[in-house]
Amino acid sequence: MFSNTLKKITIWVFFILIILAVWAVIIAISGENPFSAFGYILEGSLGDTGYFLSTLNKMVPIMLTALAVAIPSWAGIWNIGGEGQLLLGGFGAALIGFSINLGSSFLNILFALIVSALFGLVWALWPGYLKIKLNVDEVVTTLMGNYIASYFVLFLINYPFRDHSSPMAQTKYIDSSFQIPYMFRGSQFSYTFFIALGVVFIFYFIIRKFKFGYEIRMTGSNPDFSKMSGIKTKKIKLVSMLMGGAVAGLAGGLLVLGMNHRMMQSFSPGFGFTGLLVCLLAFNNPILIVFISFIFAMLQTGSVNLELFSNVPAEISGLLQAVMVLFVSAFKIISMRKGGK
Amino acid sequence: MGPDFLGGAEVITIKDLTKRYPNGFEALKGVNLSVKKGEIHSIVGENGAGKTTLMNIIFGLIKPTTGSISVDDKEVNISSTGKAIEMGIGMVHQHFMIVPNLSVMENVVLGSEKDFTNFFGKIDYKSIKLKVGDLIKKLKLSLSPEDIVRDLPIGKQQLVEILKVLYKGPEIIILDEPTAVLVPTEVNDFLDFVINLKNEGKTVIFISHRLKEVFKISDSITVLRNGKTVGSYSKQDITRDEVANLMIGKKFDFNATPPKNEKEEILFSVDDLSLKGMMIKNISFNIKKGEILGVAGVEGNGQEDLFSVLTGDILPEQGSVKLADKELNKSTILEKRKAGIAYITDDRIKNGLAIDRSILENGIAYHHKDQRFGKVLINNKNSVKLVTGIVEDYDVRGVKNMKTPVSSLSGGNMQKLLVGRELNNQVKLLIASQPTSGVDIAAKALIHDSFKELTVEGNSVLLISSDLDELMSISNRIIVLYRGKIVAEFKYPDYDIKELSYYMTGLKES
Amino acid sequence: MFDEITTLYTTTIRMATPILLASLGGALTYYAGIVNVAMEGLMLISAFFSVVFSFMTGNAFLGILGGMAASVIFSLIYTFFVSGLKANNFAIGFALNILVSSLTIFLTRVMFVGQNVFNSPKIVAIPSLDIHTGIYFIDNYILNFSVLTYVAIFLVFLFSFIIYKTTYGLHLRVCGEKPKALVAGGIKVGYVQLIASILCGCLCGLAGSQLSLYNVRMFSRDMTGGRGFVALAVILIARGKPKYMILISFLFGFFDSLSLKLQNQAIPPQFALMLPYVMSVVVMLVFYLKDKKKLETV
Repeated sequence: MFSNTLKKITIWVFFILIILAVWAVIIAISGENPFSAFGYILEGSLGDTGYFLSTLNKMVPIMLTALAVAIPSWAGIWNIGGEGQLLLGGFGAALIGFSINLGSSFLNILFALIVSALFGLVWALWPGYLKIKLNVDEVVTTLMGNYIASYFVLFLINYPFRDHSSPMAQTKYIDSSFQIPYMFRGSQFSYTFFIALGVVFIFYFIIRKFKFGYEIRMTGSNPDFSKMSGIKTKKIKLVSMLMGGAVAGLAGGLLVLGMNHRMMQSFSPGFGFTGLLVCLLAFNNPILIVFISFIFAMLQTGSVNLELFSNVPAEISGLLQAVMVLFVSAFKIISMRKGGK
Repeated sequence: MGPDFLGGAEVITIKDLTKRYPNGFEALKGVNLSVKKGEIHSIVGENGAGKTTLMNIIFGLIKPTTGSISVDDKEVNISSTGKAIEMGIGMVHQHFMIVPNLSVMENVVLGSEKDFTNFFGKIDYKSIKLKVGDLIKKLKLSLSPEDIVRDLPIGKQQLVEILKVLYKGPEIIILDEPTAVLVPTEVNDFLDFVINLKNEGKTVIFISHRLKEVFKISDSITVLRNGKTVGSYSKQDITRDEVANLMIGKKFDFNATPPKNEKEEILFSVDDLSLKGMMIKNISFNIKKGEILGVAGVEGNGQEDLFSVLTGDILPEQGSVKLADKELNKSTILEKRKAGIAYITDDRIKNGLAIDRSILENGIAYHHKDQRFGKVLINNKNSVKLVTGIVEDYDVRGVKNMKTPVSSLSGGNMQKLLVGRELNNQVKLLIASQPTSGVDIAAKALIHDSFKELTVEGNSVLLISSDLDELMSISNRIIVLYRGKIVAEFKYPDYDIKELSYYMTGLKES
Repeated sequence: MFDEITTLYTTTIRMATPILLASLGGALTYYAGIVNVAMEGLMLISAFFSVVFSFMTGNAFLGILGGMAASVIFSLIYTFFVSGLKANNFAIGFALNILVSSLTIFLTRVMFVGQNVFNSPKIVAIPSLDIHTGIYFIDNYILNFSVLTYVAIFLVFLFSFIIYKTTYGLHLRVCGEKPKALVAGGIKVGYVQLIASILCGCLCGLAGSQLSLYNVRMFSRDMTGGRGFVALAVILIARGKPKYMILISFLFGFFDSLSLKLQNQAIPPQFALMLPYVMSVVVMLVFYLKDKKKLETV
């Protein structure tokens, strides 16, 4: 038993070394010494408190958009629409933040976050509904939804809700009573991180311990059988899709309330897709989602530093992430086959 | 004619063959076999004895772990089906390998279409039609080359399967349970067809567990049990009962009788049930308390649709379904289950279990709706208690712990888990479809006993099965479905297998 | 007015061409049993390398070949995972799409020190079929489109021939429906899928070239803009039937064209930009509704 675990660990250490080697090759091709490049990445993500906190900050949208893929995926349905849901959620929070005031900061933040989740939920509703009613392929609809949502938000911040005092297409700032306070001077790190982490753990708990979670798991594993067992599989699929949308919308809300304080053009550098990669890499496991979000956030914040000190553009982080997903997928399959024999 | 009399050379010799799967399962633990030229050699054994695995190895679909195979006295390595075909081996599979959306001729030439292809890869369908048509004529089959397979009845699809194999002109033909899907009257014609093949000089390996058929056509018989060869015999040297006992390994009671717990009161009634576009037409029957009602019929005569209607998966257009005077016609499966109906589906992998989830998770399915297992959170203690009980009561073997996935269990143990789960409810009526397909004799007996026990307290069973032996051994009454209608009813002990099969095949109608 | 219709028509043809090409490619893997979600990435990598090779060699044909080669390589990677390793095709498809998206923009910045766009006068465009008869209708409605448009139309016929009349087509149709029957016939499923994937790579490669080397002559970040998924929608709606694929591709080309036209009108451009995506969902919906009715009446 023990030697088996040891063997597994050895194999995975070996796999990680291979991935690092492939990363090194990519960096070397782009004309940089891999070791110094890794150094810049590490320094720019963990080098000091400020860097470390911005890495944690980066985790917020990544973790939540990954979860937004994972929840429907447990029920056997794909949500590729995290990006659009995040944008709409962000807009929803901003809209509340600059237009109303409930009198208490706590209520304000709570209400804005609920609205952001609702906006995301609505954007998951129609693909989910079309899937369960007509079996319209949800991969295509959620993906198209991203483009539609992103142009729609662009329209909103360009026309009806544009802050005309600004040269850029963006909304007004939200009222300060909506801002989730920063925790440290000189860093944008705020309670959003703990809210996001909390949401991940809540869903971890739901999927493992709740009856509802049990029904989601069974539906994802064998819908025909689940139906025979009296589970309303279509409802489960739809609800899991809505939850996914809500979580992605919440990610947008947290970004607005905790960091940007307004909705703006290029609000998201593709968080939805980074989240998708994280979820694929974590095999839908919430705990792994947290760890891998950390690694991806490190790569993203670190590669900004890398670009500053070398000729390697920051886009390398996306490349390294995608390569990692491909290799880990292959390794997992190989190790499962080896493990079987 | 026995093998000695034939005195043919050995065409296939197998020595000490074993097959061990990555998960540790040993399908074959040492098999020896020698097949002589021009004979019909039957391989018999229980489900799971290793017959199909052995044949798949000979046909190059599976690689053996150890052991040797010789064809015409030369040791060979059959690494692919292509190699097997080159060596003159053809195999008719238990599960159809034909493609429903292609025509008969496309199916037949699949794999040898190169012979009809020009330089640009274009297929000459005209010559194919001629050639396949000739073969059909020669074999005196009632098929047309251009029929789409999907539209043919099962019996004819089987012929397409065989046609496809014979087309390649094999010298050795493996038939894996070819009669499983045929009705009794079709079986005789088919067996004549097999004898005809032998008369043309072909060697036939015939896999079956139907001893009557085996004794009708074989020259030699090899018995497999638990992945091992028990023995090889000339037909004259052994009797049917001896073979039966060798297969099972212990004396088996062939004289099972239905339980005697019937009461006068009617528990469940179906009245004038019809479904447009589906197989079911004006079906009416009722089940008394404590009764086991069997539904016989050849596959595809409405059993699947009847089951779907009774689960609530499809809503019927007219008619009523009543359990103890409660109308359930339009209710969902959840409501039906709550009223006291339990279901055993015909395909445990498809909709009876979630095989990649744990034993625990599978064991509490539907039970989880009960408050005992918690309102919001799942009550782990009660769940474990329930499933442990099922595992013990129904002798589910191979359970390392509750978290192991169901896929690690053997077919029979999966089925026992499923049956145990379904019977652990407050069951008034059990609707079971093919409850013992693909399980061994011991599991079958256990499952039948649990059905009988259910009737002791006045509960009933609706047993849909294509296994006539099963139906006759435990049903109090049998109704026959033919083309979606009930065409006959038999009452224990007036069961006549001949009569039954006449109704099943439509030779007789009410 | 008449000129406007002509422009709308020509743009429709131009925009439909890549969708048609990609959907033909994806239909091959669809028949082989793989719902191809990597077409987006295949088109994008080809769009990039078409521009690069055209820039470096000064030859549009070599540009196309370069794009196709890149697309084939990525298609092979996809097939290695999905068919060889039996990995989840959605997971691998999306990983590849994201990989290509980052890789192309990364290379744009490393190789050309551009920001998000790479253009240069040295990039040679794909030629049009440059024949003028003097008859307005023929010159504007039949001739003078991208060479690849005619190639695409020819490929539709070739595709039908391959699928329904050849050995490989027979294997392909069996491959998706009942792979075991192929194995029993001594044909390797992996081989059939491999060929499908190479052909799919070539076709998506052509589609990418048409996007970046005809009309615009440049590469810009994520310039495929979801067309790989539009092509997937075409395949799903048409169930891989060539005659329907050609019709639906042109329908989607028309929405693209309409979108371009509306961008210069009085409405906010975002609504014009949104149009093709909204319409692809609507068209899917209409077809699925029709299918559902059909199922109910049977």
